[in-house]
Amino acid sequence: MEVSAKKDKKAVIFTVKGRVDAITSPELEKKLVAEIGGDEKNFIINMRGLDYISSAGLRVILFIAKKIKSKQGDILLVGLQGSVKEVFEISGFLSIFKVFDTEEAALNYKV
Amino acid sequence: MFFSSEIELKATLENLPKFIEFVINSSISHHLNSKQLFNIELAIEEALVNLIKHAYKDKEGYAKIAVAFNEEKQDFIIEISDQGKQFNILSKDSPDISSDIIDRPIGGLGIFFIKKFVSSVLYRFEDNKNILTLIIHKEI
Repeated sequence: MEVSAKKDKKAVIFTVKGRVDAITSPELEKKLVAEIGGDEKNFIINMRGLDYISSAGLRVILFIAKKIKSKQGDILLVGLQGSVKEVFEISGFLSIFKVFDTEEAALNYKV
Repeated sequence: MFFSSEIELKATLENLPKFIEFVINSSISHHLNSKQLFNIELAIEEALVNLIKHAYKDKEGYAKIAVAFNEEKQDFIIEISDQGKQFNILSKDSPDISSDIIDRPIGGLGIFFIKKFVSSVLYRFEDNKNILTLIIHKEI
């Protein structure tokens, strides 16, 4: 798993690649928690390079989303594909998260 | 059912990749597609994590995985067993998957995923073992 963060004027954009499973998800949680504590309110997670995610990964995404919502922020997901998208769909996450095809589309939503 | 091969290791997160590798390697000659392989991997992870947390409650124990292929039905069959506390995953209610981010409870998706990502799931408690059978129908 690889996680990186970059700051845009409108949002903090995370890129998560590889595998988020029961073994790697604690590291994802640590890295995301470290970035969401500041003044920024809007967060985008780009998952285009994500090959695999299990319930352990969804647990982290929901935990982070709750923290962001509790400070009146917003969280947008980008680039869900294939089986990863199916995991989000079956869990009901596709209907509770705002999902976009590209970072650009997500940033435009935040104008 | 004749199981062609099996692996038995300590039920730990560290061994999760070895269990998954064993099952994926065992499936190679049956030419499952990438979606089926993803689903198998997900179901095994969720089953093992559940077994570590609930059957063994973080105590030491072993998990065994055996695989078989039913030529007639074109079913790839995975049997996962442990000697921990009796726990029938099929008796667990499905989680709430409709409430919004604030109200949605964290967790409860693992067992739900096992049921959703394979064709069928069977459970039995036999000789003091939890035995979970996951069946993946191979589409022709």
